[in-house]
Parts: sequence; structure tokens; C-alpha cells
Amino acid sequence: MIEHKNIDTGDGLEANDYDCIFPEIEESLAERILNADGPEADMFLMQLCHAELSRNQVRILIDRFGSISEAYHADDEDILDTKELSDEAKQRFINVRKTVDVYEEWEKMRKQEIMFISLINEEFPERLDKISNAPVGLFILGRLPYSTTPALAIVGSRECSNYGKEVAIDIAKKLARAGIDIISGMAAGIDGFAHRGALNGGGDTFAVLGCGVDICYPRENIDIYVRIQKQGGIISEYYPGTQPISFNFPLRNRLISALSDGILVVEARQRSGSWITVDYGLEQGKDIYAIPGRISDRLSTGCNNLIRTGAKAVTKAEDIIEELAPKYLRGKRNLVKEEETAKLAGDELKIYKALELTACSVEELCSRSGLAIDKAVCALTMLEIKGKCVKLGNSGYARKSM
Amino acid sequence: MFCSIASAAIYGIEARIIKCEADCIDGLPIFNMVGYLSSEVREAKDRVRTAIRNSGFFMKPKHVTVNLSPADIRKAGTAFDLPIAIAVMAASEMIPTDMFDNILLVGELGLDGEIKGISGVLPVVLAARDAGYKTCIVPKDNVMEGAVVDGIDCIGAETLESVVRYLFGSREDDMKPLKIDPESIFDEDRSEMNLDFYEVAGQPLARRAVEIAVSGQHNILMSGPPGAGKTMIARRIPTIMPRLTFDESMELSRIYSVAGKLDKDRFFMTRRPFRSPHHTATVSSIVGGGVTPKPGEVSLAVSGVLFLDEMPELNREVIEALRGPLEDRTVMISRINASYIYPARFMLAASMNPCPCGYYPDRNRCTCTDNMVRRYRGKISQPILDRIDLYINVDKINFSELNNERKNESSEAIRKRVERTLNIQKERYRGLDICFNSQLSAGQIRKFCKLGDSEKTLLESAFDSIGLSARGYHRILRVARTIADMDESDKISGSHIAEALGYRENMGTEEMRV
Repeated sequence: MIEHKNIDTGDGLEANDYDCIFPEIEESLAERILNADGPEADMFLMQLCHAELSRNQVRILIDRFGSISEAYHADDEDILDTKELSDEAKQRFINVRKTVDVYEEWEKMRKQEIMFISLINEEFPERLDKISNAPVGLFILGRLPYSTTPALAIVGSRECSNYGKEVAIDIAKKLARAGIDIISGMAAGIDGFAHRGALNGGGDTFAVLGCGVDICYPRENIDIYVRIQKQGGIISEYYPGTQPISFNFPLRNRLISALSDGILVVEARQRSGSWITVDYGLEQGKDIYAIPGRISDRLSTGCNNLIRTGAKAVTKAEDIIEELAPKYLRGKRNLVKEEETAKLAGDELKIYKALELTACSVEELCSRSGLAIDKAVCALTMLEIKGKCVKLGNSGYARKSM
Repeated sequence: MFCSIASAAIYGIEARIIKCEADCIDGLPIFNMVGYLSSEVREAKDRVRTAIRNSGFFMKPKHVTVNLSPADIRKAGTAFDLPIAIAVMAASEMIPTDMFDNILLVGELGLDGEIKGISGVLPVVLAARDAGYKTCIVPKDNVMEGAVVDGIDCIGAETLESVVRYLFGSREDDMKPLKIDPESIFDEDRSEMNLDFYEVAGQPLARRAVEIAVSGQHNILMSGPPGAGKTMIARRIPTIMPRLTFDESMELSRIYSVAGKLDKDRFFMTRRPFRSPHHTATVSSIVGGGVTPKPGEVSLAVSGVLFLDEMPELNREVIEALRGPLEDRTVMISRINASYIYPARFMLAASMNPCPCGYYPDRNRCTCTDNMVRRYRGKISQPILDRIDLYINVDKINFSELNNERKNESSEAIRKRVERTLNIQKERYRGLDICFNSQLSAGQIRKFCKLGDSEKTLLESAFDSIGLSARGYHRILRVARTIADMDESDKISGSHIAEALGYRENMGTEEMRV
């Protein structure tokens, strides 16, 4: 089946090695920090995040210096003397201490309205505490997901087809209406469309970034970047200002998976970033869902393979809702029926019946519907105005929603 | 002795009469030339002297001064060789000057006295006629160009010697004026056309859109994967345009004459041009220019089609340089010495692939990222897109259509309809400075594209639901006007608008948005 990927977490330990660290120890780490430093510890923890130290490394510092503030104010020699820490980690820590004023940075974050939630806070997501290499703290624009709200991660290819796009939007929208949080990575393609669908459905959605939360990457998603801050939150374990470097992105996938109850893969090639998320999901014991695609579509090979190896095939939003938010379905027979179907007639109906989720050329639609070209163009525009179909650049028309 | 004879120089597509003055006096044997000359004109003195000697004439060693007047405009080109030679010979009292008032000469001389072809003969002959000259002697190579002009004798000369003989009064066969009736070659030539629309298999959308484009002289952009037939369709656009009128062809021939693109086989433009410059073209080759300005492709496409294949592959400056010609329908090229104005009333047909690899949005074949697609499309800037009224997608046709025995509509049949639609517009815009729907200004749109209440509501909802812009609004109305005209309907109806909306620009990244 799916193999575990060995991902270097930057502290010399491999992801698999964390299986031996029990969550209880992590919890006690939070208690130890609280006991030693009190709530003020957040300010120092933030700088430890700045130095990209893992929980393990934070524990090492406490073991040696007794508290975080003491570690932060210790002499360079003492820190360099800490044998358990890797050289890079020590250097990063020392650099941060040299260049950064803890209080100023704290104020700066407050002004930028960036929240910092560390492991000692109650708000820190429970779901994250359960995973092996949980981050020390999170930077947030907006808010964090509630642990009690069901959440689903929607992931997929950056270069998606119109089919993937429409499915992602449609399902995300319906799930959002059912009160399920949509978690994704705000990347181009499926990620972005999942966020958009959720936003349009009026639900909450959370984007886990591989860069600082103050950086919108990719830039085209600036509109959802702004909207998500009001309808959910932008989350990152990286210090604000961290540039989007490719190494960070696979790593943030573990948070996307950890924050969710299940992972839906909409479109993915055989080997892609989505598989990393799925791997993490399996490791963390999440449900895997996949949208089946045509066997000839290379973009769906990943999904189809997931289904073969045991992922649940999703053909409608209810397939997920019945597992994540079964209460919502009670008393409701068919969700699709809920969508209002405007009355179409004549040429418009003929053309609408010929439309698919994938782009069709006008010629193709003409021969399917038997309409003359000028009538067809006319009818398509009317459907477009009514929001029933979409013109895809100069490449044809597709149905707007399932 | 002093002597002067007329010649002409090309400025833009007009010719100006230039007087060649020569004076010979006793003194040191010097050949002096003045009159704001470019270097090729200055070099004429060596060609002239040698040509005179090699034609069998003996020039006495005298102090010769040549002036090209008016002396304040720059003279370029080699057309002054012949008049300078004749003026110098006359000033040396070697030939009689009694015919000089009624004659105009142009031509380049070889060292052996042969007269070589030049460019721009047609405007020269036209200018000579308008200035009241009776005879125009031009190089034999170019005589056909000049012979179409009515009201002036145009003689093609092969050698300097034959011109001299003519001035002595000899009327031999080789110096007889040539007469060509342009109307007859017109009829003869336009009967045969080797391209026809029936050769295009399938593609009903492209056919319809192209017909609309031609019917209102709208610019059109075709997007589609490689091999879909965009170029094939574009090449056939001139075949459905109305026949060239005599006035149009006169203007066009002038431009081609100036550009040096006329020859013995094609001395008069009888067909609408189809220009398809390669995408490596430079700004000056497209809009015109050069040290001695020459008309560019936009002017060579006057009354016809300028086809830009693979438009995003063109240099950005080249695309941007099209803004002016598309807006003003003329090109003005400014140099230190003068500004030259060339006409640029052409119909733009452009083609492009939807993405760098050509297969977007077929994700099984296209591996371009959204960013690549966006960047590729972004190469055509919004101001240019705003000047294109129709956007269509041309898809690959399948085998059954390719093999279909059914005969498609021919260019002839389409042209009949197009002519009818264009006549409606001609009637409507009589007395205005426009002839086609595509030229309607915002104010004129308000006047000629009146909408009923339901049509207004339709456009309003289009504004909201499909993100039509204010600029797009006018484009839609212009196209809707043409579609209504094709329907012979005075009123623009909802279906006309809806169809026009179907051809609207959708180059942006809306498809990636929700």
C-alpha cells in the first residue's frame, strides 16, 4: 500500500522516529513551560518559532536552562555547549536572539493583527497536539478552527481541469453549508477553488500556508486571502515574513491533514503533492476520500488509484456529510434538489442538456443539440447570464455546477 | 548656360515636383551638387558623368553646378539620375530644351547609360498629371505602373540615349506612350481566385464569426490549438470581402508603388491584400519606417486584411505599435526632416494558441501552469484587446467533418451577403466620416444602436453576471449592430445582443476565478 515518506523535519529526526514520543510528554511540556515562565512564555516561544525549533528542541532547552526566558537570556557559550541541539538549530537560535527584540516583535505582531497561539494556550488545536511532530506555535490571521467543528481537507492538483474546478467548488460549497470547515493550502488550482467554494457557500475555511501568514502566495489568490481572514483563518507555523520556499510546502501538508477529520482528493496525478497530504493523513489516521475520474484522464489517475487502495469514492457531497456531519442530513432527502433549478425552455434547454462539466466547443454543442450556430451562441450567452454555464476563455463552454 | 527640368520625389505616398537645375560655365572642370541631398543623390554625379560618356556623348570639361529645388526639403533615392543627366546635357547645349516645360523625368542610371527601375512611379505620374505636365518619362521597368494614369503620356525609356533621341524629336517605337485601361485588367484579373471558403471543412462558428467580422469590418482574434485551421480561415477572408473599387485600388497601388512592390506582372493592385508578416517582424516593418521611410505592413494591408499569426509571439513593442494605426487608421512617421503619413485602414485578423503549448484547457495534453497561461495571454495588452471586437475559438475538426462530401458554402455566396450588409451601412452612414459599424464612436453608438427596454435589461444583467466592462459594452453594441444589419433588421434585438456577447473577449483569467 502507501509507503511512509521519510521527511526530514529539520532536527535530525525522521518523521517515523516521532512515533515513539508519546503525546503525554508533549502535554507535560506545555505544563512545564507554564509552570516555569507563566503566560509570558508566549513572547519567547514566538522567537523559538522564529528560530524554527521543534518541540523536541524546546524541551531540550528547558531541560538545560530550567525555563524558556532563561534559555533566551543565557550566554552564547552555554547554548553552544548544549550538545543535544544540532549546530544549525543553535546557530538559528543565537541569530534570532541577537537580531530581535522580543517585546518589539510582540508589539509588531499585535499591530499587524497576527495572532500567535502556542502549545501552552488553550486555543491551540487539540487535533494538532495529537500528531507526532506538532509545531511549537501557530501564526494566525483570522481565527483557528474549533476542535468541535467537523473539518475536511480538500486537496488536488495545481493544474486542474474544469471538471476538477467545478467539483471542488461544488462540494466545498455544499459541505460549507452543512457546517463543515474546509481546510486547504490556498495553492493555485483545486486548493484555491475549494476555498472559493466554501467562501461562496458562506462557511468557514482555513488555509495552511507554507510561508509567513503575511505573504499571499500565489499572488493571484489575493481575493481569497482577504476573504478567508474574515470567514475562517490563514494559518502558518512559519514566522511572518518567511518566503515561500518549496521545502516548506510538503511539510505544511501535515498540518492540513492534522487539522481535518478527513481528506478529499479531487484531482491528482500519480505522484503529486496531494499524495504527501494523503500519506500524512494515513499516518494520522484520517479518512481518505477521492473523486473518481475518467480512466483516460491523467489528472485523475491519482484519485482512481486511491479508490482502488481503499479510499472512499465520493460522487456527491452527501457521501462526506453523512460521515462528518450526519446530523445535518437528518430530515433532508436530497441535497441536490435543494439547488434551485431555474426553468429553462426552448433553445436554452436544448443547449443546457448538451453541456458537460468539461469544456465543449460551440460546434460540438451545435451538433449535439441540433441548433444553428447563431442560435447556439445566443442561447449559450443567455445561459451564461443566468449563471447556468460558463465560457472558458476562448475554449468553449461548460456547465456551471453539477 | 542655365537649364531646368522637372522631376519628382516621394514623400509618404505622395510625390512632390522637384526641379533639377543645372548650370554650365567655363572654368575648372568641377561637378557640384547642392540642394539638401542624401548620399545616394550625391553619388549621382559619378553615375551621370559616366553614363553620358558611355552613351556616346562627349561632355566638354566645364564647371557644372546642379541644384535640386526647392532646396529646403531632403531628397533621397536614385530617381534623380536621369533628370540630372538631361539637365546637365541641356546646360552644356548638347540637346534642345524646347520640350522641357511639359516633361517630367525619373529614373536611375547605370554606368552604361541604361535606365533602371525605381519605386514610387505611380504617385510620380499622378503628381505630374496634377501639375499639368503632358509627358512623363519613366524607366521601362515601371512604365506599366504609370500607364494606368489617365490624362498624361507615360513613356518607358530603356537607355539615356533613347531619351536624348526623343528630346531631339525622334518618335521611334520604343519611345511611344503606353496606355493601359485599368478597368479591363481589373475585370480580367479578379475573375480568378485560387482560394475559396468552401475548402474550409466544418468550423461553422469560425465561418459565422468571420462573416460578421467582414460585414462590419470588425477586427477578429481566433484562438485555438495548432493545426485547427486558423490560418486557413484567415487566408480566405479577402475572398468574402467586396471587390476592390477603382479608387481603392488606386490608393493601394500607390502604396505598393512607393514600397517598390509593383513589377511587370503586378503593376496595379486588383485584389484586396492579405498581409501576414512573420512573428519576428520589427516595429518598422509593421508600421513603416526606416531611414528613408517606407510604408509598413499596416499600410500594405490597406483595404484588405492584416493577419498576425501567433500574435503573442510578436514582440511586445510591435503589438503596442499597432495601437495608433488601429485607432487613427493612419500611420504618422516623424523624422527630423519631415513627417510622413501613410494610410492604415485595414481589418485585423489575429490568431493565437490558448497557451504556450497550445492545448489548454485540455489538461491531458497541456502541462502549462495557470501562471504560464496567464503570462502568455498577458502578452497582448488590454488596449490592443479593446480594439478587437470579435473573439472566437477555433477547435480541431474531427475526421468525419474532414471527409464530409457535403459541399460547404462558397466565398461567392458569402460575399453576396457581406456586400448587402456593407451597403446597408454605407447608406446609414452617408455624409458621416465613417463607413462601417466597427468605426462607430461612443456618441454614434448612442445614435445608431438604440435599444429597447428588454434589450437594456439583458445588457444590464450581462454586466452583472458575466462581468462585462464599459469598454466591452461598446464593442458588444457595434457587433450587435452588424448582426442586426446582416438580419436586415433596423432594430437591435435581444438575440442580436446575446450572439454578440458570445463573441466577446474572454482573455483574462476569469475562468480561473469564481
